Amino acid sequence: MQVFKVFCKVTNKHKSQFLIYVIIYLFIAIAMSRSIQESKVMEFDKVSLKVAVENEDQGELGKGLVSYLKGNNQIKKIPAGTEALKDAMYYQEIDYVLVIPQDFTEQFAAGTGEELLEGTAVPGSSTASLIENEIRQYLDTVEMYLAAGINASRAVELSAADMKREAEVNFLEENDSQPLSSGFYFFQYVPYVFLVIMILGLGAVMKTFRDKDLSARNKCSAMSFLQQNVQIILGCILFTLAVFAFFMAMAFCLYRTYMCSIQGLLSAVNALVFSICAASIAWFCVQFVRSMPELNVLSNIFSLSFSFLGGVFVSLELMSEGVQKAAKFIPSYWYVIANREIQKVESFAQAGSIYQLYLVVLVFALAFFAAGLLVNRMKLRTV
Amino acid sequence: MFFRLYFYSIRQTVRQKLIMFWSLIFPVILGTLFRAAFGGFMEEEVIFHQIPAAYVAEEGASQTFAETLKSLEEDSELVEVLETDSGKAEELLKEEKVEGIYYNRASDIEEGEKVTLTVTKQGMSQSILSSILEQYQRVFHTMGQIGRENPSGLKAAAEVLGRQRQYLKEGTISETPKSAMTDYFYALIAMNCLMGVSMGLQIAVGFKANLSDLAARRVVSGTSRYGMMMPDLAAKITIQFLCTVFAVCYLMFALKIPLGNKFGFILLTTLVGSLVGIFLGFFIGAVGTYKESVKEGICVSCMLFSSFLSGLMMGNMYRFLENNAPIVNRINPASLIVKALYSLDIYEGYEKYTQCMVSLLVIVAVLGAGAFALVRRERYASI
Repeated sequence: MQVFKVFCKVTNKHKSQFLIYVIIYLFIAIAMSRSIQESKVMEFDKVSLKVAVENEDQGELGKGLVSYLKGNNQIKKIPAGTEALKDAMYYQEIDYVLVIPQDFTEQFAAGTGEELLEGTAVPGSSTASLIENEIRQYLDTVEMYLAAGINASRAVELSAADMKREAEVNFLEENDSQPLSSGFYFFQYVPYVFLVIMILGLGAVMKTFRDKDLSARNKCSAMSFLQQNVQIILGCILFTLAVFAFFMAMAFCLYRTYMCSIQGLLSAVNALVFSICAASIAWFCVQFVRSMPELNVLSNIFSLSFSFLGGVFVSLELMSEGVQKAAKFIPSYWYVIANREIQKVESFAQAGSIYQLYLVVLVFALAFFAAGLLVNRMKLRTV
Repeated sequence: MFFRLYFYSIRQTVRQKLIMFWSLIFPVILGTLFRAAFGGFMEEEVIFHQIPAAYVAEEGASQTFAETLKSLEEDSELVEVLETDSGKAEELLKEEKVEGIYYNRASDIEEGEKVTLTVTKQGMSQSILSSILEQYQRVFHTMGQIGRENPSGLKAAAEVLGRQRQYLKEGTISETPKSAMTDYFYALIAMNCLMGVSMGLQIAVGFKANLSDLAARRVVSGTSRYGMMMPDLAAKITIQFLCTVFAVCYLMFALKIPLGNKFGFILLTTLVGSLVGIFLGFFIGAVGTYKESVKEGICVSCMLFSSFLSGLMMGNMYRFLENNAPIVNRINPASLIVKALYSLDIYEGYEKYTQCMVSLLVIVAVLGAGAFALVRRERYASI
């Protein structure tokens, strides 16, 4: 096992470098899963926004609107002056600013004039449209009552009661309604991290064996070509398993209940399958590089492009249909789909479609491995 | 001598394909990827596609909701309704061919309450389907209430329904309409600026005698180190700045990303950002006696990590940090660059912008002073 030993020695030599990558990307994976989880909770539950309200209206309607908004949101005092307001928005202390003018109740009741209220959303905030919708619905209801000849104070009272009504939404299966567990978010970012670590780590070691003089020396050694390659492959498997085991150990420490469930096990297998794919992508990449910085470039291109287009960073639903179609040619797309499907599964018998998705990722692994072999052969001929 | 060395250094840097790739091509690739991933979102064309929903009505159920759905399908093209039986609808929902099922029961309870929605997950489409039902039920309840309070006003109230009154006037806090996706492009510009780390590292390598032969020769020469270093620094800053300008122009004019209209200030930000990138690389290169490959790894990791914290991979990272660890946003160079660009967009004055720029310049000064102190008078007993 000489070659295998050398493989381990080279890996050991690069250990400080690998450690930096592993720690940084582990931190990135955890931070990402935490932050996305926070934003997802905001997105689907009743959104509570920080709304600054300046109510100059003396009538009932202004008060009614404010007390209605108070039901779901945090009402804050409006900072004095435009600059203070902008500062509060800049530091995300408030999400939305609503100014209710002095004679709002009268003007509204008279039905004259549009755009009576002044609402300002923090530039770039995607949640602001929700509160605008709430205000619109509330005022529509009040207007209906007023038009029907009901006085303003009664209209405000009735509207508030109407707005409390919520649609009955059921889930087809009981576990559909479960919020996604934090383990899901951790596994969501695994493709990015694995791609970077595999390409940089495995790539760095494999590159050593591809050094022109060294490979020439190895070719004329007594050990057969097949034996050498088997040992290198063994080394690659060990490395892949080590990285996988490290991340799973972390996942186990952080999300113990998730990891002990069926979902946890299926997610772990999903990650293992993807780590094999990442290793074969690393093998493919290494065919094109001569130095470590070049490997760095390729690792970033592959990891970022596969993650962005595969739906790791950006939800697939946000992408146009054309891009979604193109994403099907990327292994991380299938990983992400499998990760989502896993959350719906209750027993191994139900996981049929997930096994198929594993298979798709494995086919990608095979394709990259074969492509790497092809490039390797072609390069050998040109030497 | 300064200009001679300056031009030599420029020629030498331009010939380093890898460095040019990082600074010039990589941002272009990533920008194009972003545009592909968020393309639909930026143009608001695909997000609001018709949402497929199934409609199952029991025999004898009222037709009012079906009519409402029909009008939503034909007039506002919000939903695509498929009327079917319960078994088929569930099948369609499981296959994700529809996003939800509206069940209309024939019972004695109040009309609005008879309809329920069944879904399998919580998402944007499901929220829209649920809000359609909610709005329908609220209107129904309101009409019922008016019928009880003042039946003669029903007609007038129904007329209000048909009217679309615009209650809200958009605030005047910012003139530029900003999409949440623009922040990703700001983060990309920040990353591009920080890509100067590779060039900065090259400067350090050129003066660390244990890292390169050129440095060993320079260290023993009679010329002052600063005399040789300054032209090198100036050349690298020039090239990095030009690369960033190229990327900004590509984003603004080729991909048509709205980055604001203060082009001059954007360029100034990228200049200071490039300075931070170069000095960060220079500093990392000057610290310790590690191998170049380790330093290269640290540089790339720092650059990516800083960009990650500014929201390159996750749009809401800034907010997450502002709520949990605001100090990170005040010292992380990429976040400061993003915030400087953001403040240019929303503020008329330049107070916040200046704050960010001063923070960035302080970082440059600290890194520069540290790097110079480390390289200054460095002596080697043996290499």
